[in-house]
Amino acid sequence: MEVTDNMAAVEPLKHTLGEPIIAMEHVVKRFGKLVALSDVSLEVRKGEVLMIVGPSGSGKSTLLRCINHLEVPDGGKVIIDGIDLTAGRTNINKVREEVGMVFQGFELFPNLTVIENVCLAQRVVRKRSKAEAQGIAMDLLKKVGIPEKANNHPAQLSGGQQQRVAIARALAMQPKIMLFDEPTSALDPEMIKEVLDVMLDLAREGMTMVVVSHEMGFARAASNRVIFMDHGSIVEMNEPNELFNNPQHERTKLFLSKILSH
Amino acid sequence: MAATGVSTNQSVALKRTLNFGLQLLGALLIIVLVPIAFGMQWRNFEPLLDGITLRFLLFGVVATVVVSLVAIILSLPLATGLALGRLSPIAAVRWPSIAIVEVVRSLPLLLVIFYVNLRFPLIDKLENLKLGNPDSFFGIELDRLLSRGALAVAIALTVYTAAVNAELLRSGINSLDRGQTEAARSLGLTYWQTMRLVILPQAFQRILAPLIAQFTILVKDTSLGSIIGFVELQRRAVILYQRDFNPMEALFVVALIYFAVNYLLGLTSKLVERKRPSVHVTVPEF
Repeated sequence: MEVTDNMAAVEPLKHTLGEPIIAMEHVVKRFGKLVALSDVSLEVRKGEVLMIVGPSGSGKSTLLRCINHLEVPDGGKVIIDGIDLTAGRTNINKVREEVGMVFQGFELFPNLTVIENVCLAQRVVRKRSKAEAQGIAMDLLKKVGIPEKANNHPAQLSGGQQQRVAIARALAMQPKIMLFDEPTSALDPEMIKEVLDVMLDLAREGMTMVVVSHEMGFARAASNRVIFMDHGSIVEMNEPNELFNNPQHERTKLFLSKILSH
Repeated sequence: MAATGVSTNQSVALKRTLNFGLQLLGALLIIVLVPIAFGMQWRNFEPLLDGITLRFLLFGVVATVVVSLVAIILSLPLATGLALGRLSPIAAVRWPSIAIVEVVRSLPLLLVIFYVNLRFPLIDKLENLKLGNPDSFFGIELDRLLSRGALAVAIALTVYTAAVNAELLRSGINSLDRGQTEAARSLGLTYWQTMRLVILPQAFQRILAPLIAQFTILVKDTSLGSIIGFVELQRRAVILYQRDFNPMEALFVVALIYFAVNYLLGLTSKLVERKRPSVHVTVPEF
């Protein structure tokens, strides 16, 4: 099978997975009459990398956004690290501190420099000193490979660089979970690899990751499981090679044939 | 490349100098031509040039500028509160904000000034403060600045400008990508931290030009105070021409002063914009 493969040379990872850290039970989300998620249940364990694929409108982004409560589910339970997000009086901000998110459109703060972007939440949420926050920020910018851009504004960076800063910004909070919402969809092809490389490093370090993406190479190289979603439901869930090479459902076959046939 | 770079820089500098020269020329032409066109006479300017009269006018400028600054500074947090209120998901906050903004915006400013002047809780208490020494020039001017009329104008302009700018700010906030809020919230920032550190700085940057334009309107509208006994610049022109019978000339001088004040205000917007260049778009120089 032909694959658009940005990760061809990388050996698949073998994780030792920990306790469940994300649990979704019968989650329902509607937008007006549209049912975005219908009765989705899911468990993600510590250190696991979970990929979500599916056609647009299948509910994969909504599923991701329910994990840090950017979307409020209409029914069911979302439990993050033992805290029930759907149980009324939970402090959502406390949970969000532990869950980093990377967006398709980067969403760096254009009024701040790169290092200020990475320091902002550290200073106001984690209450770190300026020196400590900047130290952590510089370490992370080195890790994502662009320490020299620290004092630039986001608009002066390429898309790939901006997305790497966005990853650094999320990591600066030392989250337990990282969510990626189509992190490479807005990037030119030659910039996709630099972002995926950073994500792969994270996966190797044992970060719990939920990734909405169609990067099959990354799925094979880094993910433990792949979920195929359609019409707001999980159609199929399996190890990446199993799901891509040997899909069980017709809809999965059809979808994969469309995205893999080029 | 380098050569063209230098020549573009030079031509930009040349254009700027040319532009400034043209503006200066235009201003001089107005100062010379308008008095001629309206048949003003030099001897009618002469009574305005005496020391006491100039001081009288100067403190008119002070009164106008102080009341304007007070209204501008007080209107900013109020406008921010009304804009955020109107965007609030909480109905008990949203509806009063909508009501205040819509009602105040649809009233004539003069009516608001009259209304505040007639009865406003604080005004009656502050009316006869009389802090200044009535025998000294500064004492008289201080009391003019703390007069009922000045207070009424400051309050009315604060409320009115806040209502107008609330809508401006709301459009600025709405023009930002929703992802900005989501990114900030996903980092664990609270609603207020998100607004204060991420959304409002960007929104204010986007609306800076129309915001300053609204403030120049505010400066001009202080002249409405002349009707309710606030002795500001416009009122002083009237007092002077009733003494010297030179309305054309007195009003012309005051017009130049208003222009100068608002031109300086406009310059501040350019300065702020140059200090924090828009990071999204680079506007080419023409």
